[in-house]
Amino acid sequence: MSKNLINPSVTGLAYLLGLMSVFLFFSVIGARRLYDSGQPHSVYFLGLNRVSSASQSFTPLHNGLNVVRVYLKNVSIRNHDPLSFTLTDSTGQVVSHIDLNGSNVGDGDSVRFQFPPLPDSAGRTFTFTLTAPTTETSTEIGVGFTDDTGTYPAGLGHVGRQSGELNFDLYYRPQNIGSLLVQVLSLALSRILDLPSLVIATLVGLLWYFLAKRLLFDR
Amino acid sequence: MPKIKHLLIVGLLLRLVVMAWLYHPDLKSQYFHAQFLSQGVTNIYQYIADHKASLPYTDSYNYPPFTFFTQGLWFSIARLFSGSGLSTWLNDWGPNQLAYAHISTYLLVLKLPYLFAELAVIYLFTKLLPNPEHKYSFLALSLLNPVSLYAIFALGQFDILPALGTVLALYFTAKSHRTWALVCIMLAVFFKTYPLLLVPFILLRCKSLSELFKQGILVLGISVLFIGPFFKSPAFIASFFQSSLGQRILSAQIGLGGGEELYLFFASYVIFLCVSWQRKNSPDLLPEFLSTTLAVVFFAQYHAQWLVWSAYFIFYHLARHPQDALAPLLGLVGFFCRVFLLADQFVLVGLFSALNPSLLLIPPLSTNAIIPTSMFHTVFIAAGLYLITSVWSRYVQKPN
Repeated sequence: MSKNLINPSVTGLAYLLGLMSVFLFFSVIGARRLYDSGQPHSVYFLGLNRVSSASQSFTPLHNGLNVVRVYLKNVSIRNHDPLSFTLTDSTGQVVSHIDLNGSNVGDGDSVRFQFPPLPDSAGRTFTFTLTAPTTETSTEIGVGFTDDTGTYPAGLGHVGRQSGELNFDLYYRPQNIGSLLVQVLSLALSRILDLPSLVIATLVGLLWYFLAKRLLFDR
Repeated sequence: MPKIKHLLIVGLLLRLVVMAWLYHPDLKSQYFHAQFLSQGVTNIYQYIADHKASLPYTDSYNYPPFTFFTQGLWFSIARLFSGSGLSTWLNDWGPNQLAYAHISTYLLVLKLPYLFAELAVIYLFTKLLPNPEHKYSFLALSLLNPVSLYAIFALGQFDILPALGTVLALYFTAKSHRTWALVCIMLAVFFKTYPLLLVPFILLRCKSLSELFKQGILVLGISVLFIGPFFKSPAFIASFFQSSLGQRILSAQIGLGGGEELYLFFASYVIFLCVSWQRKNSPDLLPEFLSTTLAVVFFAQYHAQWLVWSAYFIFYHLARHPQDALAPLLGLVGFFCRVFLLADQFVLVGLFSALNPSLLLIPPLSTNAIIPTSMFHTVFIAAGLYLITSVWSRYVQKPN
């Protein structure tokens, strides 16, 4: 195979451009939203059933709130009962209501509730409530929960009479593609320009290169 | 020489980029289990079975023991320079497991052994290629091919480790050191079981019945030595003997009537054995190793990383016979198109989730694409069968 057929620089550049293109396409056109904030900890699961609902107040950091994800557990996917998600603002007005059922909930899964972006969500307090009006305790859905209210100071959660914080995430949709692109690139760069990985990559790269040169070059 | 340096630099940079930026949960799963070696656990199979209720991640461990020990040893070294955050990340299976600032470091560090294992594979083949033109072609194919970048460095799968064992076996057999070849193959078996299929081809090269007997005892002895301690563990038996590989290679069948099936892989394997017998005086096992490992991938619902088993054998052949390049190229298209259509976020989009966790909000590209995936798999098989035929035709005609 001729040395001229495969140009390493062109091939390498094509790969890098390809990777970037796939990443940006899926981030900007595919996902179209970014992580806002949330409460990532679950110490245990509390039951969601017909006498015990779950609610969580929260305050998004960005405008364009679009998705709330809640960590739920439907053990062995045994629950197929109706389940409702209601989002209200600080005045109690319903912003979004979504009906689903237990079949949509996995056995330890972040369930996604999506609604039209709220353009002025930053800094406002909202509450989401989950209800399972026909579920018995034997098939209740577990809600990821922690008693430590300090993990999310911007809100408070309840499951039944228990106070604490639910395990949830918020995602927002930037108002325009330009803004989304900038934020995606900024997020990616913060991961890429991780100093320890750059140092390790440099040292390992030098070691690999010198080994390869010694082992593979004609003498 | 400047062109080889250039090739090495580009290949290295691509690998480092892909290693650090792309994430697959299998890498984390394997090292989650491997970390228990540093806590004194030696039978990971039984440990998981006994502690399932308290573990943050409850999948069983489905690989042979060497994988656990190798990755466990590497974990102990890796955490020295990646810090305690590595352990924290490995044990975090909650919804925010991608929100770690140093995730790129963890990904890079955990995949480092594969970078050097691949270098060893490349080195061995270049020793078998005296022609500088062929050597350069092999280097270019090895360093710039998408299979290695995807399956080894993006997915972070360890298949390059058993592949290294099989390449060592090929190398030693070519030098007529059959004992060392068998030792290497058997060590490879304890990473993944497929190299067991290559053992008969080496045994066919034995010059006498007494040598065959001795080598057979060696194979059995190594098996007993490394698997024997685990045989009393029911969890190990369940994991090891019910592997997806064993089940998947039996899945391609043609009905013969009366409930009987023609197993396509085994039919091919018998043909390879017969042709290998015809050329049993030849120490070069490339056609046997290439066609057997490729046939496993053909006749199964393959995982992408399985192609690593054959990839470097294919590059070795193409370096010397570039006129056979069209079939592998077509096969590559079919291979990747099928992979990307699988109902799994992490075949494509999810790989970038370490850079942007929001990408996990996107569902797989396809959830029910049986016809297209079958078509692409068919293209892959057809192209691969053509390649196998080309390879054998060159070797059977060549004088020993």
